[in-house]
Order: sequence, then C-alpha cells, then structure tokens
Amino acid sequence: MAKLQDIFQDVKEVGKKNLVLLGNEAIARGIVELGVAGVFTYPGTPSSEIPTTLFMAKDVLKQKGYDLYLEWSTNEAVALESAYGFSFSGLRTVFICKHVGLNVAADAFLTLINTGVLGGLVMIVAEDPEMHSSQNEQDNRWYTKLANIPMFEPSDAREAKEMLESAFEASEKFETPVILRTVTRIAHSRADIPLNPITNPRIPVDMKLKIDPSRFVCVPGNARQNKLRILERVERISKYMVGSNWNRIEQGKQQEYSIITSGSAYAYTREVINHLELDFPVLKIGVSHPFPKKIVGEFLKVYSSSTILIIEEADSVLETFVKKLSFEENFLGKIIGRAEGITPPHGELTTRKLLKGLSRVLNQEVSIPSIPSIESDLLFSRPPVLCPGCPHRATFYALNKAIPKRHRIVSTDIGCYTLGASPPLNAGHLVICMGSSLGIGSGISQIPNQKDPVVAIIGDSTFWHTGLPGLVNAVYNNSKLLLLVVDNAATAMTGFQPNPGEKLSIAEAAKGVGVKYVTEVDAFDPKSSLEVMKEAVKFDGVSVIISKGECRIQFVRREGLPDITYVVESSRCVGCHACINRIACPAIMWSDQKNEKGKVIPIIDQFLCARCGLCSEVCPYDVIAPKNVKEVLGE
Amino acid sequence: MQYQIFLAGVGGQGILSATDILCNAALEMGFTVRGSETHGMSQRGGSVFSNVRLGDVHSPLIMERTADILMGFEPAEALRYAQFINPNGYSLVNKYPIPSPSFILSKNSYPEVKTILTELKNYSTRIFSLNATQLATDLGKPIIQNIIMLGSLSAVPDLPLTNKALKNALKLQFKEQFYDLNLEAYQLGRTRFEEFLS
Repeated sequence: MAKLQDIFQDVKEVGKKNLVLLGNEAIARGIVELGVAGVFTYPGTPSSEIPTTLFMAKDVLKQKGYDLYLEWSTNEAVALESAYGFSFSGLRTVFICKHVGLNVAADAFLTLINTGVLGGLVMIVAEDPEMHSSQNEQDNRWYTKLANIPMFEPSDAREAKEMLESAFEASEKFETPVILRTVTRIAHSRADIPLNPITNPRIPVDMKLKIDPSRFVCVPGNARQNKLRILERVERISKYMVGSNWNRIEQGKQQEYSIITSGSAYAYTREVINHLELDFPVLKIGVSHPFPKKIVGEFLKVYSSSTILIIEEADSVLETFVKKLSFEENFLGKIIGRAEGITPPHGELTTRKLLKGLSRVLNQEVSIPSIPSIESDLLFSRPPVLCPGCPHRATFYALNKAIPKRHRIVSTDIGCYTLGASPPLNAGHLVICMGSSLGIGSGISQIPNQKDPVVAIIGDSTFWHTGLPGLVNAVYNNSKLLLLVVDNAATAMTGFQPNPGEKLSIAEAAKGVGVKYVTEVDAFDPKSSLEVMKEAVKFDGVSVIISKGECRIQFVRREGLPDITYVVESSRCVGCHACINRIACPAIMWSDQKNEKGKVIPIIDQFLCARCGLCSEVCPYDVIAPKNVKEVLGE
Repeated sequence: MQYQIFLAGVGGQGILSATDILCNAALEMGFTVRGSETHGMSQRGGSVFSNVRLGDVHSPLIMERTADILMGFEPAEALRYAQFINPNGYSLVNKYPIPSPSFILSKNSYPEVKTILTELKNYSTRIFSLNATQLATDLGKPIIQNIIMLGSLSAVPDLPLTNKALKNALKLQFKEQFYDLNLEAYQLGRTRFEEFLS
C-alpha cells in the first residue's frame, strides 16, 4: 500500500503525475480532490481502506488546511442518516459501506431517495463477489432498480476515482443520492492512477440551513408528492446521461458478434477479446441506472444482424433489462447472456471463466489452456484462523471448559471471533449477519423443552453496531441466555478502526437496559473467567460476561512483543498434545522429536508466537514454560 | 506486450510490500500496471496471493497458465497456485514450510519439500528454490525473506524491470536505516539466482 504522504501529495496540474494505488486508496484521493467535507461509514471488507486511508491522513490533510469530518458511525443505517443530515450543508458528503451494509441502511435509504438531497451525496458501496470476506453474495444493482437513483459502475481502480467526480456532478445537478459501485477486484486491485490537485472544501463562516418541511417530512401527503418528483427526476437524469462518455460504443471490425458489458466485467471482456485477437464492437456501460435505453437501443439497431453477447459479473441485471428492451424494440436478432451460459451464475468473473463461456457460445474454436491436476496429498487447506495470541482463543478455551460443547447452543456473530466456530474451539453453531447472535439466541432460548444452555457471542464493535436492540429484546422478553461479549478493543477484522467502546462501557449499557448479571473478566486469565462462566450460565435470565483482552496485533504494534516467550520443555513433555488439540494456535507445530514413549513432541515456532502464554495455561503437565527470549533465540 | 508476476504465500510474509516494490519499479519505467491482492478476513493466517500485471493489460487478475513468474513464498502455497504459471515461466520458491493449524490438528506431517518441487515441474520446468527464510534469519531479520525473493526475481532473464528501477523502488519502500540490510538481502537473492542460471 502506498504511503500517506504520497497518496495525498500536492500536484499543480491535472493528470500529469501518476501513482500506483489500490482502488480504495484511489477513491480516498478522489474524495479530497473533489473537496468532500463529510465522510460517514461503518467499516466492512472490501470498502474499509477508503475511510481508513483518510482517517490515517487526517494530520496530513490538516496541514494542508483541509477540514474533513470523518465519522466512524455505529452502523450503516446511522451512517447514512448522518451523511444525509450533513449534506443539508450543501457540502459534498460521502457514505461508505460494504454490500450488506446497504441492507442495514435500507430503511433510511429507500425513503431518503424520495426526498432527494440538497448537497452532493455519493454512496460508495463495495461488493464482494466470490465472498472472499463476506457472508453472502449480493448484487446491489438491484437496489438501484428499487430506489430509482443513478448508479456508476467503474471497470477498474482508475475509473473508480474518475467516476466519483461525475457521480457528484449528477448528485448536485439532480438533488439525488448517487451510488458508486465497486467490487473486490476494484477495491483491492492496483492501477496507475493520474492525480489531480486537491481542493479544500469551501465552508461558509456562517452556515444557514434551509430545509423545506413539505419536502423533507415524509408524511403520506408529502411522500406522494415526492414519489411523483422522483419519477420525473429519473426521466431528466436519463436524458442527461445520454451524452455521457461513461456509456459508449467502442467500434470493432468483426461484426458477427457484438458485446454489451458493464462495470468490472468490461476489464475481463477486453482481456479475452485481446487474447483471442478478436475485434468485436463493445458497448461499455458505466452508468447502469437509469438503464441507458437510448444507447442500448441504438446498439441493437446498428448491430441487428450480429449476435449480441451480454457479459456481466454477479446477477443477470444487465441481461434482464437488455432482453426487455429488445422485446420492446422488436429486435429480432439473437441475444446470449447468463441464461445461455456465457458467464457463471455465481462467484467472481475471471478471464478463464469468460474464455470458457465464450467457447460455449461462439461458433469458432477457442483454445483454453489445460491445467494439470495437482497431487492432492500435497495440498492442504489453509483457511483464515485466529492469530497467535488472539484473546478470543483464550475466551473460547475457557468457555469449552465451563460449558461442555455437547450441551450448549452457540449463536455467534460477525467478526474475527467467527473463526472460533472451527474445530477445535467449536464456538459457534450459527451466524448470519451483524448483530444477529442475540436475536437468534433469544429465539432459540424460547423453544419449548429445549434444555441446553444458549450462549450468544458478539464482539465489541458488533455489539454497538446492532447487538444492543437484540439485548434489549432478550431482557424485555425474559429470555434465558448467556451473552459473551468478546471485547478486543478493536474492529480488528477490517483493519483496526475505532468504535464506540473507546468512550462507552458495554457493562454499563447492559446494566442500563436492565441486565441483572453483568461481569467483566480478563480473557487472558481463563482459570478465573471459566468460573464466572459456570455461574453465569445458571442465571435465570439474561447474563452478560464481557471478556476483555486487547487484539494481539494492535497490542504488539503499540507495545512490541514482551521479552518473555514460551517453550516446550521437550525432556518433560508426555506427548498428550492438549496444546494442539484444545487451542490450535498457529504457532504450535509438530517437531521432529519424539519422547521415550514414541509420542511426537510439539514445538512453538518463535517467529509466529505472539507470547500470550495461553499454551502454558493449557498444558496439564506444566511443561510449557516462560523463558526470556534472549535465552531462547540467543540474541 | 504483457508481463505477469504471481506472488503466493501465507498472510504476514510480506507479499504486499514486495508487490509495492514491483509496482513502483514498473511505474518508474512507464508501464501500465494492473494487479489484485488479498485483504480482509482471508488475510488472517490464510493463503494469500497478489498479482502484478504490466503492459497491455486490463483485468487485475492473471489468467491460469500465463504468469511469467510465480513467486512462492511458501512451498505448498507455490503449488496451490501452480496452475497460473506459464509452461515456459520461472517458479521461484522459498523452501521454508509453514503448516496450517487445521493441517496440524489432523496430525499430518508436512509433505517433503522435494516432492512439492517435483510436482511443480508438471507446470513449468524452470524452478529455482532457496531457503529464503533461513537466509534472512542468518542476516538477522526473518521478515526480509521477501526481499531475498525479490532479489532473485531481479535476475530472471527477460524481466522488463531493470535492476536499477527495482533498487530505486526498494529505497522508497523502507525507512532509511533499513536500506543497507534490505539491499544486502536483495543482492544475496540476486546472486543466488545468477549462480543458478550459470
């Protein structure tokens, strides 16, 4: 990732200086080039590096006299509402979330689109096809069909920054929020990005707001007027976009096929037709809503004798609307899309997948390089795991000792601790979305004759995000469950963004909503915390344990590693393997050594070890001993 | 013209900073650059990769069987992504193995590194391996195994990135006090690969 000083460097001229940036860094740069004054967000992969880059650069920007209000809101609904509120200033405002974050914000979203906005409001929504870091695959292009607001779909990191400017222009001209849609392979892709000068926001000394209640109070009478307004507005936007170069026809000499594509799929399309040395005409769609009827209609007319190929990533959104238009326009040619197998129905698009799809539909030979199969014994899976030194591992170890795995139902939540659901910790039977652990746990606890104790697990940031209403609900409805808050003082999975836990106390919040059993424990003291867990699970009602232990990565970054590390005393190890079988720390491995009974002795990899000492607590024979690191590594 | 480098390894091995250096060298030389990499959940001790593509490129991802260089920072990870190497490409492999916790739990021992390298030959016969982690540890800093690997890459025949551009990018990447050590690591990797070629 690029250095902050480089990303936010001053340039005098437009587009003369290039920098290789991550898509999200490019968007962060775009935000300050465009003079955005307010950014509201809740972090979520693959969107997080946009606000994180800006957050880390606050001082750099301040030195330039750039006054940016950046808010880590408690959740996406609040973030969007706050962004909407801020935009009444007339200053440029950005809302950022991951694809499922828009679901959290959907209630606010689907009404504020009707009132429109007074200042530029761009919603940057990052999707994750293939679910690299997500719980579902969701194509948010459908949301624009529901909301009837413009959507910009960049095809790469460079366009993502360029489109941001057009998105603001459209937002301000038509007083509407506008969505800029990215996907993982834009957000987390790199490209050479031309820089433009930074523009500081112009903030009036005396800000006076003018808010017309007949438009902005969404009671039925006003709402009916707003509905008419949005229908009329979208027509005007349609006309305005006709001249936009983001929707354009790129000519081609071979016309037996012509291609319609949008967003990220354009890059793979270009890659494949170059690879095959083909020269088909391509209609590249960058503004996918309002659906660009005029240019698509023209394209269908001009290339009526060719077969139209529709290439898109994720759902068949483009295909649905092109096929609908072809029916309306009496287009008699052939249209081939997802339904005909040109692109896969799930997962992200790749050049090879598209090549395969094309070979299925083109009436010509397409050679696809064959791949030798790998000797399966040699490959093992390497899924993401809790890091060495993770406090959650210690908490779940205590939980397993306190409440036997076989006699409990564990409803977990979204965060690093979701990884604790895997063996051997098995701390999680189910998870769906942010904050759901409490609602699901409460529902399960109300099942008649279900006698196993119910444990809900939630992280600190997720607790504040959407856990709180679930806790209120469980208390109000007399549910019997143990809520285990794993408080690592960080929003760790997405890159250590702050959360309300900095200032607010989860224990006080729980007491405040009427929980009668609230205790804080030290995650790194499993002996004591397991005794508390044993007691809490017997409580007749909602009990809350807050297991506090700082994220080890965050701790080590600030404090460095402790001087005391841990070593298996191989001469005394009986080979019970409790250290491996109970906690599966990535730093504990099999050594080449065996003891006299022939049992393999585990070894602690000193480069991976984060020196938390949990393994020495776990070892029943006390053979994992603290040692000064100088003694061990001989430094 | 396209030139493509596929980097594969385990989260925390310095793959992203190696990617930074490659991209900055490419930028200095005026190439169009596209690439893609792993962030977020899958970074946590999981298998990670990064793609660097130069020249006439559009997509951020390397297509299977087309990479000019496969940099495997860990033997099993090199094999996991072996399908991306072009049959005439070079595989550069760090021989230092890192097993995964689930693999350890299932009580398997790590496969022979030699067997993994033999298997890799099914994808491309030009294979260069060294124990970069051990060499880096000997230099006093295990993490600079990534720079040793980068040094080896710098000597790959027909690499469009010059030694000078790579060294400039290396200088930009780290704090000044670490430059000498990084340069030493880079030279070590470069020399090892040159010896391999001759």
